[in-house]
Amino acid sequence: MTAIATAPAPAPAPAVRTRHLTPERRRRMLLAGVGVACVVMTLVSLMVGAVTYSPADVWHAVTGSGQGEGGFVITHFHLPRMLLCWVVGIGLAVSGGVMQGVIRNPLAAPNIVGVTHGAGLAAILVVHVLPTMPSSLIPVAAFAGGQLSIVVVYAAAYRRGASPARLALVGVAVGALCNAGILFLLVRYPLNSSAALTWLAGSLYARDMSSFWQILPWVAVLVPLLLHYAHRLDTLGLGDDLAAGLGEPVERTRLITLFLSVTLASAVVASAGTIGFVGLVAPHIARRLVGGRHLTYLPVAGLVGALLMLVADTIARGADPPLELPCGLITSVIGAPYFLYLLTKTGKAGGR
Amino acid sequence: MKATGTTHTRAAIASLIVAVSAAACSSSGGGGATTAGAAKGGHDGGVATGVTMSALQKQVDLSQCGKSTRAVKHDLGVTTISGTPKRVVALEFSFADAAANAGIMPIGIADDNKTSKVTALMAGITHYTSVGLRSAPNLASISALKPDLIIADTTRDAKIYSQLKSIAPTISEKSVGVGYDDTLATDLAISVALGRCDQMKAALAKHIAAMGSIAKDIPAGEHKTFVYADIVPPNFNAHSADQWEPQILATLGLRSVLPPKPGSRFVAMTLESLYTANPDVMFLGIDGPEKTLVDQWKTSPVWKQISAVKNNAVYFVPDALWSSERGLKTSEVVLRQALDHVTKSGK
Amino acid sequence: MTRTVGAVKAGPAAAAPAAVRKPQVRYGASTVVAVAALALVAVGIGWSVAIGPTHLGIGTIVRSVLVGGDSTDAAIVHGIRLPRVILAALVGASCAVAGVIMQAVTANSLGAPEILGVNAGAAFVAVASLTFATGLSSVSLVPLAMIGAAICGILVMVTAGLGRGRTDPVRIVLAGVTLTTVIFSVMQAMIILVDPSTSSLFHWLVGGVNVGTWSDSRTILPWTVIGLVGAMAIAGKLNILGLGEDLARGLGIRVGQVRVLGSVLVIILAGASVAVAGPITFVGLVVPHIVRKLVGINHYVLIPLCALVGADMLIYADIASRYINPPSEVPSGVVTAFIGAPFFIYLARRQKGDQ
Repeated sequence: MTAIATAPAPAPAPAVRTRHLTPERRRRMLLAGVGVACVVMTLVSLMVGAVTYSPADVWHAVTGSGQGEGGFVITHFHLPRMLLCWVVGIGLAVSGGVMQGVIRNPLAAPNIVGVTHGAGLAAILVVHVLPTMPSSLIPVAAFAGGQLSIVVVYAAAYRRGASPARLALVGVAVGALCNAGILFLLVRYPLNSSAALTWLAGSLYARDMSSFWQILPWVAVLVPLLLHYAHRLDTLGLGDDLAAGLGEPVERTRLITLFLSVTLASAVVASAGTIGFVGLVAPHIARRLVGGRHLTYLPVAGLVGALLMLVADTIARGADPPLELPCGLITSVIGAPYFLYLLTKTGKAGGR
Repeated sequence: MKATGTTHTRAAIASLIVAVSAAACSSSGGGGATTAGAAKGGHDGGVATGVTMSALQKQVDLSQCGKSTRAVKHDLGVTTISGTPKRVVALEFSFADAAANAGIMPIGIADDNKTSKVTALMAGITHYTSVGLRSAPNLASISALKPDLIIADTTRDAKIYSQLKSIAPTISEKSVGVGYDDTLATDLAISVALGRCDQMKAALAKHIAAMGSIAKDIPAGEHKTFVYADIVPPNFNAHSADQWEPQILATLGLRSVLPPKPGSRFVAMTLESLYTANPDVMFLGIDGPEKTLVDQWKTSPVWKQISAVKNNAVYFVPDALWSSERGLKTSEVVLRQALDHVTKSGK
Repeated sequence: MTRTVGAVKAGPAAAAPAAVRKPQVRYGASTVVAVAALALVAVGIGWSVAIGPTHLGIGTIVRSVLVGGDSTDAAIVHGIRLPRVILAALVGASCAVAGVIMQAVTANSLGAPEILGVNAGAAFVAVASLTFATGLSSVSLVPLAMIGAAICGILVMVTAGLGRGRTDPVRIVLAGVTLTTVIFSVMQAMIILVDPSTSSLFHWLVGGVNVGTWSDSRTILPWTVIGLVGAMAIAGKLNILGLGEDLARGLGIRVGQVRVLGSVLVIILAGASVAVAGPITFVGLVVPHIVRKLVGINHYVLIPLCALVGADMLIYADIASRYINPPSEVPSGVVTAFIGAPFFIYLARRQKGDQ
């Protein structure tokens, strides 16, 4: 959907200069809007909580001046959540965008290739079957689970190459298998089922700075690495034959980028639980804003993902205190209608 | 879910001590009935739950009572508390009840977002701030209350213990899956942390006496079997004999169809296993009008053949009162209600 | 993607219309399969009734079923175990027939009500209704579940662009899976919100016949019969549809009409089975493939045999569910998922290379 800048219509006669909102201009404004929204939401997420504080309170808390209300709450509870939203949003969005490019299907997302289910299964296994293990083992287990499931998916889909179609379908199947395992565990150990369900729905409850430090290195390393592959992902998007004709080592690039994006998703899921739809919806919005070139739209997707997470987490904490909704619920509620709209659009367009 | 191994050792020791001291004069602790033994099996009239003040005092470490700065040992470590905390946040109902009985009204309670769960029975707690779900208490809410003591539940809150500690001194005891006798012991332990040992001892003594006086109305020679279950569709969660409600029901002389099962709070029974167990009396805890599982079972001919159904002895009781609160006055009311049900059912 | 029409002799369609209209029926194989499936059903019923907290011997069972009476064992057989296995048979048959119709209508060997979001839609509407109107019985849930199934089915069909010629199987599966994920995550959220401490609606995330009663069987029976009869009525048209859309149109079949009829039948069967047993997975996917391999693609034979084999699959899944983790029971839906997912992987591997 490239924009063709329309030439301004010749002014009829005297000085009625209509301002034309060219698609290009409109996109730039939206992009700027996203940026502004990110900044605003960052502030809002620091303000909102069980008790809502004022921007002045936030300023005092952040600068450590000791004045103002709620310094302890803002620095100990709101700040870690805000930072987590940023890394989780960026991580999931970039991971999802790359996956959509690799699988060449706009409906691809980390849960499609079974990553989130695999991570979930491993985490719940550790929580229920080995309850004496320290809870710091859970992110490690979830990470391992995500990686293991992509290995299984890739291996099962490999038949003289792992075509995107096979990857997607096998991913769905492996995801279904892991999901069955999760449900089996939930039924077998019903005492902790509500905690497990919350984890599965995706919640940042009681996450502190340690979760942030766990995710940050992965995001800081893998996102630039994936951006490095941006051009090659564009080439892959032309189709296997054409890309190979252009000299692209198709299988290898696909393998590397898939594993990198899954690693990123696993790291995020491991610490933050299975938050849905950010990886599906953010890349789409970004593509509508800046077009389909990976180098341009992946960073924007990251911003949009962070924005989504900030909005969801703020609503989760502020909607009905002291009840804290799982923010994965909010992202589902936001993402579902958008996804349905997407479904009908791709149906009509008959393609990507 | 950690196994309650230590509590069972404690209970065993307590029973032993009580058995020995029952031979001696019975006026060592406060008042209260002093019949020995675990609260199971047939009894003659005038029997209470088998818990005595002396047993409780031996079960709990009271060495820190009366000190201004106390080092309180609890399930997750040792916490130093100075003075008498006034702003207490309780993350379980039984803890709120304990604090209130010791004379300190909690300013914050994790009440699952339902104020109806904190009934008037809980020692007159009228005004508090809800801090959210017991399974996920809102840390920011707790912090905003600026508490000076937090009482957490070991089973649920172990993973947020370090964050609770950063807000205020925190002690952690078990409330979930704990029997009646251990609940009283926990209450006493909490009063040590609060610096109100004497008030709690008086409250407990009064409570044991009250239970004893209700127990006087228990008819002799009660043999019936019972099951207590929470109806949480699609599950029929029957509580094993060492849980709170079965222990109180055992005071009436009823026998649980399920044996004690440390490490597991309940057994999910199917219609078939319920039919095979064939209890004479059923107490079913429900939350509001939701009885769909039982309604479904009622359509089966098997249901009608269960002894309790034939005797018209299926009682629906409020879940909040019977399961959640586990407070002192609440247990008296529960015992009274159970007694009324059982004696009215004839036989 | 056109499926190869295995049983029809090669040659352009115009050459032999009669042979084309009626794909070869492998009579021998069909009889064997039918007899075997029936025998398995009988054995399965007997086995299922025998196991449980109290093991019952064959003699006891036969006496209870035939003679009845008031004894404990008879009560258990009649009141608990028999309704459960009968329900398993009915639900399994419904799911399998829904699957075979769906695969024919979408011309997609990966079609199945659970993959294409139909089951999820039905479950969601059922859960939502129960949340807001707690006293609903199974009977009233059925039409509600069907509405949910219909909405989701339509959504997914629209995405796949059915009616526009070749449909990409991957796209429709992904669309269905994503829709299912949406619905299940919203359902999970609803469960958490409504009352985090109860798992009352958890049953709707996993299907099972563990607490099947006679009223459940009575609820689903009419719909199963309608579905089966309806399926047989359009079996001939489904056969022709299997040749490819253009060819079918050329032979005078009103493709759109057949698709709509088929979809309605799927919605009826899927909605009814979800209403009584929750979303059971993979029966509708796996059974048609197995039966097709054994007896070919003639729907006159395929449909009734799928019903029988589907009944078998769920009966034995239910039996297995009691052996996996005694004394508690695993929901049958989990067992079918454990069986079906590897099979799905095998099917997915067979997909041709590129889109």
